[in-house]
Amino acid sequence: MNAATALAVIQLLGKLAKLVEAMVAAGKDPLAELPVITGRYAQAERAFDDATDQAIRDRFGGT
Amino acid sequence: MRRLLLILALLLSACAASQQEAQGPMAAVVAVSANEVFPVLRDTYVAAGEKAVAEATNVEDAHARVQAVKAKWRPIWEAWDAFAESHDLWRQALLDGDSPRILEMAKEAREAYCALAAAAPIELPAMPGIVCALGQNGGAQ
Repeated sequence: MNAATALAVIQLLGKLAKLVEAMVAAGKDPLAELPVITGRYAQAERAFDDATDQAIRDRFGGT
Repeated sequence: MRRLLLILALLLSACAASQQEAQGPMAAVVAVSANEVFPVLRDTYVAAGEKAVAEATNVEDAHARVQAVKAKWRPIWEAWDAFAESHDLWRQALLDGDSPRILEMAKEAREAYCALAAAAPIELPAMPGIVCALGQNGGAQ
């Protein structure tokens, strides 16, 4: 493991510690409530379509 | 200091626990990190679309350029969804305490993450317990 990877792992562990702290403070069991990955392609696609439709309207007109 | 003690406690518990039990914190770190990466990847995608429109000469050209960006990014987002879905299965196996499936799903999540890292146009963060083959750790254009 090189220094950059080790640093990244330490930073990730810091994030985990914050997460666990928050869960314990909220009276939750951290391992019983594992976080989920919330982002999906469909969400990114909606953001992309909205932004590019708006950019086309701004640049070339139309509704 | 409290945070450092918590990290040490987690590391010690991970060392003392079985491999399956140690994967709970690992799966949590992967999800937290992925939830931070997603908006960065989405914003990079949106910026690529806006740049395509800015470079277009007319509205038809703009739509064609936008479609080209979408086509270029489709495999990246499909890799993202495969990674997120494999993490869901890993997480469920952990919650169920299904030991053989935990190991199987952890392997699938690792492989899905490495496939995503290889496809992504931005450098993805290193994940603990996930070592991708050379050239698979992000930064692909």
